[in-house]
Amino acid sequence: MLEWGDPADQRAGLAAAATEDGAAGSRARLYHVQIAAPPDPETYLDWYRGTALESFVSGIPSGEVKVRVRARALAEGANTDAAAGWSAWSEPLVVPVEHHSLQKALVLLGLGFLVFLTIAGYVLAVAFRPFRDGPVRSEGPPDRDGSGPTQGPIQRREVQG
Amino acid sequence: MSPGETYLPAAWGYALLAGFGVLWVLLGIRLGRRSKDMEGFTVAGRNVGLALGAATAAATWITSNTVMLAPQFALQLGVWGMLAYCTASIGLLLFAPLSSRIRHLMPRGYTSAEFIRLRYGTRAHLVFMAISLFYGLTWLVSMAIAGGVLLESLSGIPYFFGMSAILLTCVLYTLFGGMFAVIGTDFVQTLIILLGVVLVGVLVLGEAPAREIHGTLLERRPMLLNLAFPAALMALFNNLLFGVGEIFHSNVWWSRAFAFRKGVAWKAYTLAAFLWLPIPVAAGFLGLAAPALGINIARPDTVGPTVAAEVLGTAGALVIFVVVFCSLASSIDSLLAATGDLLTHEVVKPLSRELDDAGLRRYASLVIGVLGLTTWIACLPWSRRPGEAWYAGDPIGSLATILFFAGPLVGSAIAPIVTGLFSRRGREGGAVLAMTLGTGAGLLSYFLLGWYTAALVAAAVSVGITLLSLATTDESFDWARLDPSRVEDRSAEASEASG
Repeated sequence: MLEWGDPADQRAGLAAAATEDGAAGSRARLYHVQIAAPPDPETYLDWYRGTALESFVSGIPSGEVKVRVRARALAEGANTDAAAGWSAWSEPLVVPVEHHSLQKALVLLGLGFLVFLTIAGYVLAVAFRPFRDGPVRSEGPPDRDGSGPTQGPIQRREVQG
Repeated sequence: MSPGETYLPAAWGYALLAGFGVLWVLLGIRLGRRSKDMEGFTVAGRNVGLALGAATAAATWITSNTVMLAPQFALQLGVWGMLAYCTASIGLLLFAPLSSRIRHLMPRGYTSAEFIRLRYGTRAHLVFMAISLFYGLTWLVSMAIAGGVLLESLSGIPYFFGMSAILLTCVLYTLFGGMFAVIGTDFVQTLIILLGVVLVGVLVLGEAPAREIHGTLLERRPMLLNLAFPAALMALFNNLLFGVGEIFHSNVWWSRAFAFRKGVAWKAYTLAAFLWLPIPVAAGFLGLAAPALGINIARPDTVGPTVAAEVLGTAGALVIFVVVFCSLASSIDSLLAATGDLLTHEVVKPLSRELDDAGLRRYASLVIGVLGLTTWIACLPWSRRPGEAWYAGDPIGSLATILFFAGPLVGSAIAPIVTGLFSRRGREGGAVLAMTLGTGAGLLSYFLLGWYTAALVAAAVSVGITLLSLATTDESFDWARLDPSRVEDRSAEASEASG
């Protein structure tokens, strides 16, 4: 989760939590957030432009990610894309991104596959076997699909496995 | 959209809430006329056919979690994440043969805990009850919270009011109609959810063509398309096993197996799996589309509704509102009924052996009411200030991290249940160890590796212990013990055989 505030406001720089003041003030501020991430860590790409104070970041490769923000007053009816009035870019916040190792992931993937295979294999192997080890069905509620109620306590006799 | 703005006028939200609330309650009362005795109230007379059976299974599995978590999986874990969520349908497919077996072994059964008690014994029953109740309450509370949050973000209905209204509606029609009402309303809700989610998916695809989404993801979030994304690879089988564990152990699914007419369970669960499959694909697509559409996502678990409402405007918000309300109702009612059954049959009944059918039926209603009230209290925004988002400063994380905390518990129950249903061997000590050690290992993994590994590790440990237990015992369980009436018939059977 990435949170930001106005770079000019020392209380609410980049990545600072949104305070009550910040949240109220956000309605009057427009923010422009850019991110530079691997595989091209020097080129900033637009990430967000709007009045929100936070953004969920995902899908970025391992490496150092640089984030910067600028802000300007958002006058009533003003063009949000206008270039004028922006503050200077904040100092970039450098965030290290480190994914789990692929080796660990593959081990867990393999373990998961093995567990699934064991469970599914077992279920499928036994599910299609006739219920020769099941109990004799005792009298139960009458079935309304025409099969009718059992005539007595024993419906059919099965070989005990 | 600026903070504080909503996608739907609040008046529309209140009107929809009131309209659907009244509709479900009236439908529940009408359908509930048939639930005169305990058998009707808890297992719908054991006579549910294929159409209603498949619809109720699919609707129950389409929870608010599906609508919110599938897009979160896609946004957070990419294409693998979307596929991982789809694997939850395998749980339904694998439960199909189990449900048939359950119906066969326990023609008069009521709950999953009853099976554990009769099959393994008291200690295993206690562990299983703890797992079931923890999971049931977690799911119930997480859905009621999610519902309140979503209604607030979509229409501005205050969280307290939205959450309370959803819970009250579900409690009322479950109280009046029991399983008949739950299954009947599920049928209508399934149709609405299927139409709504597929419609939103198609409309969003029209706004952001697949090629554009692919290009944006490749440039800005390449890991979401990377087939070697480590966290996503870990999540694949974890989610599959979490889904399997949820379905295999939960009384929500067992009560349906008991309620289905003979010969229906297998087909109903198989059909439900295929009915459910398009939902996470369509919902997950919203998560992948968000970056291409330039929509800022503050909370990953609200990406689906946010994208639908941003792209489709008021109409999209309207559809999502209805879909969310239906998916919440279809799952909350099932949980109320199934958890109520569990408490009535496994706690109240043993304590009040003198109760007749009518008395038990009254207690079942009381239990559902108390359960609803408990959930409501747990969902109250205790530490929330007026006007503050429910998650502001929230230390517990997103819906995924909350829900998957139950992963170790349900994952550890898979092996004892499967082998208990099909093998005469397995004994109580093995089942208890499998569930407790599996849960412990899963919880360790949750904190050390991540939420996307916990169910997998728990299931692996549990399978290992269960197999070891099977290999080291020569006990032979008598299946007739699963059907108490069968034991009483024993003497008659013996005399008939000799005669």
